[in-house]
Amino acid sequence: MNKDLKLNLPKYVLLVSIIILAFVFLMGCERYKVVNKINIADIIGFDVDKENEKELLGGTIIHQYQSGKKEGSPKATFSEGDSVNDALAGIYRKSAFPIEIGKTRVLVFSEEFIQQKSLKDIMTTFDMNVKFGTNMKFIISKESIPFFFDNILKQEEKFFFNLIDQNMTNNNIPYSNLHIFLFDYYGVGRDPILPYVSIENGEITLTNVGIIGREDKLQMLLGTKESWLLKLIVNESKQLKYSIPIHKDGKEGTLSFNHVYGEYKITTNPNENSLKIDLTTNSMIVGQPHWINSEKDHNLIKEEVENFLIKNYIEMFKEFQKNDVDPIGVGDSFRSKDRSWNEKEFYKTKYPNLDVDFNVSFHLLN
Amino acid sequence: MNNNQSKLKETLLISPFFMFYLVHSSQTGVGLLSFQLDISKASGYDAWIGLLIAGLILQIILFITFKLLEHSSDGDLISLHRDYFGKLVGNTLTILFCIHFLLFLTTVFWSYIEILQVWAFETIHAWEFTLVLSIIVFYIVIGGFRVITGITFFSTIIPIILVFILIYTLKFSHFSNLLPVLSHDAIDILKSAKASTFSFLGFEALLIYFPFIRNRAKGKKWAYIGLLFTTVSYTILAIITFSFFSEGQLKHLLKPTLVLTKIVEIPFIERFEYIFIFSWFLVVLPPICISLWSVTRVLKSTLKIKPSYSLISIIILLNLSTIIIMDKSSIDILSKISSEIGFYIILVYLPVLYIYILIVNFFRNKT
Repeated sequence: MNKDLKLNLPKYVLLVSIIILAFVFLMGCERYKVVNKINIADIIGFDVDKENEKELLGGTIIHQYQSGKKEGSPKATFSEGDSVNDALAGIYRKSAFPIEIGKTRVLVFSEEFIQQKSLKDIMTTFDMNVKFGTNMKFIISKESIPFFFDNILKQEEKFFFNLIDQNMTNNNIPYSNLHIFLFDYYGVGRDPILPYVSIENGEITLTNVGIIGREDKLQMLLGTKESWLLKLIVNESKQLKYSIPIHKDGKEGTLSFNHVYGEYKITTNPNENSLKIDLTTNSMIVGQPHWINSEKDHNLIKEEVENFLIKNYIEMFKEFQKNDVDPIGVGDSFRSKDRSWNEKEFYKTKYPNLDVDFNVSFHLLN
Repeated sequence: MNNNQSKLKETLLISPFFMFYLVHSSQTGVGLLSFQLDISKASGYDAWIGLLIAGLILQIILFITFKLLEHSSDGDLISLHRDYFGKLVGNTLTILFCIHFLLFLTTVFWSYIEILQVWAFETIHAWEFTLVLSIIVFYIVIGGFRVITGITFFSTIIPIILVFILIYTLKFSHFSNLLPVLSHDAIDILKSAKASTFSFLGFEALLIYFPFIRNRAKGKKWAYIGLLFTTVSYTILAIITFSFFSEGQLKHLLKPTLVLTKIVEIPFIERFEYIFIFSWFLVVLPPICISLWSVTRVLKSTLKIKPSYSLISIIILLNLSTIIIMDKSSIDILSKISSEIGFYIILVYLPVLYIYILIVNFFRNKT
């Protein structure tokens, strides 16, 4: 039994195996990718095609690592096509080397494109192509993609990705990536949010947040204040900077804070059709008018911040109801408690009439 | 065979403790990468309950399996079939059982190669992977059952390191996705339980290798623990997947577990999924090796074919089949056939066989 199982390997089997392995390794040497023989796509963008009558215009910013060129000198290439892959194929045709898309960090859509075309067909490309990373950022641009890319090329390498990443981690843009977008996009009872980029006086700025509605279109655009308000109730562990007005003895000034950490809790009650949001923010004061003393006026600051937040949250939520968007995921919260929940019915009858209550607890850390 | 000792030579036997690794690692394979999709088709995000039910039912089946083996003269299915059906019919039944192992190992092998092709090396042909991987498989199986056991040990331990990446996904998790619990009816949940059987397949190989366990009674205990560990791991992974992806999003994915690992981003490893895919080879090895070993052992006991010859023949067949048949649709068809056959063998054939043996014994005792 033992002898049979642990057979004495005939020498020719060993020899054949070694020869086969040698062939395999040799074949492996035939297919290689060297960094100066490929172009690495950094940003991919899609826009409406105005010149030809194709479905879309695709563009990429590629990094060329060929010898003789300054390392990583970026270049923009465009091509129109009837689908995402068609447009990408057009771009490949214009490239001297194969374009690798696996390192794409940002995906940009022009506002016009989102308003006119359906995202559904495009998203399937990103579901099916496993090469795209989940941490890829997904952005809407106010300007057309060719104009936008021109401006990006004027900046240093990686500027745009770092701009988005920095604003999501430390500033007022809610954190998002391809996974979070797809979660909201395919999920029920929640609408995806995307950073919205514009070019002001030749400078690329990221101040707004766009909400994609259930009709697959950009339904609402949030300003700077609403963006950070939203961030506080969707990303609890991220930091952000915010300012609020303060009044004392007829004087008016501005208080600036760093939100360091916080908590939020969304409570819904399907029977009473009510929504309650409890928010705790632990902030550090970083700027104040000279007539404010953060120790003596602690209670005043706390009261002003809490009132300001509650008032603005209620106003913002009314806007959400008016525009029929749900970036917080109120519908999803109702779904998790109500077996008979139906998305269409909920947003038609219940969402506009929600009984909303915001509760803010502010803690000053310094 | 009621005593706890094996008839095999002492040097061939393994400690009962290794039953844990053998049972657990023969179940975990490529199924672990996409089982969430199959189970959630019928009962959505209530499917994790189906997994627990499937795990519980399989504990009963495992109990029946051990009861069956108690009635055999050598402690395995080969002798059991021979004892109760005669040499010709018994051997034929065992060889038919073998076909299940062949289908199972081909499914696992092909599915892993498909993953390698789709996720990592698009331009490399399937036959090249098959050739290289089959050399490794050949080398392990030819080493005998004790070497395979050694591999199962490492293939259980090494992937545990990968479990830590699940912690990374928690900050993106929405556990409310699982609520409301029991929003589907019992039939849908049972359908999910049925769909999850393919992920649990593989442990039936113990019907062949059980005589190699030194202390049977202790071995049984470890087998139950191994199955329980598989059930718990699957359930935890299902719950984490369901809270990570929204229900609509999950439907668009092909390999949810792999997409889950894509979220991990470490400053020095941008794409963690590649490390995951290649480490997964260790997880895929045991089901392939154990099944292959079982086939060679059955062919040796029934048709008296030398294991080395049968092993080389099967590996050549595997390579040829990859060149001639393998593509996406054939993998799907094979995996469907294999899981259906596996389902009926485990949940229908084994209990029926047990009842048959009880009846036969009843009449034998009477006369």
